[in-house]
Amino acid sequence: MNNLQAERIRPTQKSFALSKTAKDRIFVAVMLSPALVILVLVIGAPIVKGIWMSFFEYTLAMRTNPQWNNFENYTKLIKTGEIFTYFLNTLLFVAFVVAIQAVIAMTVALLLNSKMRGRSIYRSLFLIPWTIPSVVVALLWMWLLQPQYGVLNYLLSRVGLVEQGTQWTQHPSLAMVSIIIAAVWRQFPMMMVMFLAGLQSVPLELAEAAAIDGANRRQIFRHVTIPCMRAVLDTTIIIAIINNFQMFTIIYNMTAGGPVDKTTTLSIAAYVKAFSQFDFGSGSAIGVMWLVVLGGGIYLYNRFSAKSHDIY
Amino acid sequence: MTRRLGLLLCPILLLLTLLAACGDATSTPATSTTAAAAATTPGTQAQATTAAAANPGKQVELTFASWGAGEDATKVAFDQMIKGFEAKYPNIKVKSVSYPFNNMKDQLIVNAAGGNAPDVAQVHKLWVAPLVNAKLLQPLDTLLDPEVLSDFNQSLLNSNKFDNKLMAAPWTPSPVLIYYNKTLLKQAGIAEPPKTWDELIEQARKVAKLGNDANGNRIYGLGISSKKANNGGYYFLPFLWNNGGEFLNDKGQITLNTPENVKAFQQAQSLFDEKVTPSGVEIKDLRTLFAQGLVGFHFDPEVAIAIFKSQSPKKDKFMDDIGVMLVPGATAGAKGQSFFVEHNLAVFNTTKNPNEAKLLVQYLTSPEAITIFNKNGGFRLPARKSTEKIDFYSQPENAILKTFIESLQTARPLPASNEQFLSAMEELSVSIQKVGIDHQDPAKVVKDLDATIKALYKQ
Amino acid sequence: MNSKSEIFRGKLAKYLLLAVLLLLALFPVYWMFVSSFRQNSDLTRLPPKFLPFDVGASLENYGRILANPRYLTYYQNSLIVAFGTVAVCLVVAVMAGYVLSRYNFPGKILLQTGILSVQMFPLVAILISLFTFYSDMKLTNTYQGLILADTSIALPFSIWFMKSFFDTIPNSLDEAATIDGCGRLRTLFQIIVPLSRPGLLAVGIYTFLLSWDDFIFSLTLMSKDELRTLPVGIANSFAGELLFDWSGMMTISVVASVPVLLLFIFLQRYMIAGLTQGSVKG
Repeated sequence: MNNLQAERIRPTQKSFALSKTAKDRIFVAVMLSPALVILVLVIGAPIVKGIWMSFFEYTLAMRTNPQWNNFENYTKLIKTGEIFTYFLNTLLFVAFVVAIQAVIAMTVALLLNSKMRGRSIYRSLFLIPWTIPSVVVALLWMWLLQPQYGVLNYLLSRVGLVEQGTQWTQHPSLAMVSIIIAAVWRQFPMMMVMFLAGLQSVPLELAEAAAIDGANRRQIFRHVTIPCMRAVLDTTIIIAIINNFQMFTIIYNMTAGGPVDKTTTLSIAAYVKAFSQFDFGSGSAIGVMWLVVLGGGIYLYNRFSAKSHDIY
Repeated sequence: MTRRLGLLLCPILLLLTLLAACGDATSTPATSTTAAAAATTPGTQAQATTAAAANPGKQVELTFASWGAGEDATKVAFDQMIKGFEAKYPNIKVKSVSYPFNNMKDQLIVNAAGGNAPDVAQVHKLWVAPLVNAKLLQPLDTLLDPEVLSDFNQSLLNSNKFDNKLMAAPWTPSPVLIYYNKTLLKQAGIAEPPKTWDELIEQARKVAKLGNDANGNRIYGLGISSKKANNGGYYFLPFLWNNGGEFLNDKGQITLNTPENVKAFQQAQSLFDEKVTPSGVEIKDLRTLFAQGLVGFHFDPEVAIAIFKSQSPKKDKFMDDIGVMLVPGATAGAKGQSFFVEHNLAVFNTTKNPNEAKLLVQYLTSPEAITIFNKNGGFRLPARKSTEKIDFYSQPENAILKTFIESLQTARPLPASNEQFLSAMEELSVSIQKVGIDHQDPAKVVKDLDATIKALYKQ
Repeated sequence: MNSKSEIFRGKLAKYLLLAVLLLLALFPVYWMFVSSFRQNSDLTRLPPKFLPFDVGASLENYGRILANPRYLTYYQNSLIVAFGTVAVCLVVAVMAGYVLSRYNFPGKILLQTGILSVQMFPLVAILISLFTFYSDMKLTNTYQGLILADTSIALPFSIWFMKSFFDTIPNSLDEAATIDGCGRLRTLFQIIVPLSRPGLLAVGIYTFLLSWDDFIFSLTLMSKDELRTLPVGIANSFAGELLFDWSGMMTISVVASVPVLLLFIFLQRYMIAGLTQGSVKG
């Protein structure tokens, strides 16, 4: 309120010493500062400290006097080969989750984009999985996939697809499948809504013109629809990739990285190193390697977002 | 219209917050500081007198961390024991803080690093060494009264000594025995429960041959935990021991790579392959399956009885269907080997009230508190000799109880004195997964496990 | 084969596919509700009962869960943190979004892309050192600490979204207000903000959902039981010693999903706007 009053008198003092640009600059700085302070404090500073920590033997007990350990955090991760397992698991998870959900989301979006009664109701119904909190998604899928008395094994064994008692979250290869299913189920609705919005921005005349020229539906989709919604597709998929790289909640609660590290992604590994083995140094080292690899991604992302800026 | 409704929703959510806040005001969560007069059974006189001596009139608050106070099956018992303690020592208030069992050890360590250590905590056997290693615990041999110290089961007491200092007090030792389902055994044509380990395995196979029940529920012979969970690997130790193998020798050296242990793993692999045991389960899953009458033989301590009763469709009547037996040995005469799942009590060295902490430890292990435990949360076996004398144990009311009391003499403490034992047991469950789910060669798995654990133990 | 039956078949196939996909999307939610009405001894045995009000269904689990004061505390903590995050995030995002929309200054593009790229940084890696910072600053086990952490995650998108929203409000309004003698802050809060209600709502909902869903920050930064939020409380109910209480877990899952479901039912227009605006117009 005081600020507002102070503002009110300012325009009357035209003889104020500061130029308008200078005042603008001050205003901009003041308005931006809370955001910047928060981002620097909670994200910027920890990243810098994380890089520093990764070069030290830094455990919970040694928090007050960390010891330089000659890159041991890194060499250990590389020598045992575990870091490659984590990268591979992460890539597998991200690739499958994003690809599968993109296909499902596009299918649903195309279905809903055609003329039909009650379209908005269908859209709302499809969005419901997205409203379920991630922790609940993890527990719910644990329950659906319970081997002995879970409902999915029951139904699938009835049709003869699996054997009653089949392991999911504890099976060396099905564990990855389980977390992918849960993640896709939670995430595809959001992608579907974005695709739908993108489809609706495709000018109808273009498709009609193509149809008159004798193009069939598949050709229209490939050569008219997709190029028209390119920007939406790219942004949506990049956001999905970023989010799934970060995925922790669903994996941690469903498999905690097991069995035998088969679902240990970078985020699970970093968390376990830091908060269950209390080896903050090694945890940070995983984070730094992750950051370096992502650096390439960020570069591409920035170039992309600059490009999309030019278009719109 | 929707827009207006939306604006309405915000106040509703706010109202919810307020409601939640009101609910909170009337009953503070996870703390039970109300000192209600609980029936005090005649306890040890010595404790009462020391209480009077310790700071008369001054109010002291102790923090007691446990997982038991947070679980439905034991919540009431914990609340009642704390009430009993507060009634006995009116100048001490106990703030009970509950932790989730699976994460409790980690969270205790993090909290202690942040200056939030409790005074007294319920600790699992496997956590004692890591907590000692993190220098968080207070030695108890100088703290507890000598007459209480000599009252404990000495083998349990000795297994909690580190550098000859007692770091945790045995509370509820919980020996692991074998429950069996009489109905399933009868259906499988088994007249009498097994006398030897190999007979046990054979009978388990017979039970598993029953296949599926009418509704498609699979029937299993016995259950092997293979999840890498807190309760994981050590349930497999009896398989090693009763096949003649060992985990450690007398000198504390890892002796896993032996033909006996390989045989145990081969046995396990055949049980997985023949679907005699479900795969990828932990003890909690197995408990539920056994309560549903779908498992022939089940390794579990006495804590499971309350769970069977609450989870079985037959409720209390389920107890008529089941029996309990000691773990059978390699030959008919030989003593079978089993272990104690120990739940212990530890005092943190940051406590400002060691005397009151001592009183709490002594009270919780006393006949009085164990009686309350037994009355409210299913029964627990005692860790103190004076407790064994109460009628509940000296004149057991049924065969199950009787067998459990007998087993106090036969079970052995887990060899958990190395701080890496917990990790070793996780590695053991990983090996079971490799053999059971991933179909790897038992001989190779055992050899690798031996090497891995030796590396952990720096041997 | 005439074209009429072909169209009919095409339509039939379309609706069939739609029905199957809808079933896959909704069955798990349905199963969560059904399971919450049943007892464990019933749930852990085949065959499963598929109807919600089959024999043995009751609201007993709800009584059991709601009578447990811990869950009320978790719920309350989640609401405090979520609303706190929304409040802080809205104010900060409006301030930053406004100047990014209205003013030009050196390094603006760099700043904008910088803010957006923040979303890509590995959260867990940040968390490890953030935890040590928080421990030193005594911010662990405080609502403020968790609100700050949640805000920082929601902020990049919120700023971006508010900026795009302000871009759609003509600059002439600001100019008219300035001529009328309004100061900059007053122009923003008395002229522009009231016009931005849909945008604020979208950002508010986005932030609320993010905070309501947060698991990892709450798990590591709050170690006292009385300060835990609902997601961690729910996960902990799975981490007990004695048994898997499936019916209890499904019940608390329903209870945790309901606020978001309600938000969704009443405000889905804004939620969808918030979701799509960014990427479509971005």
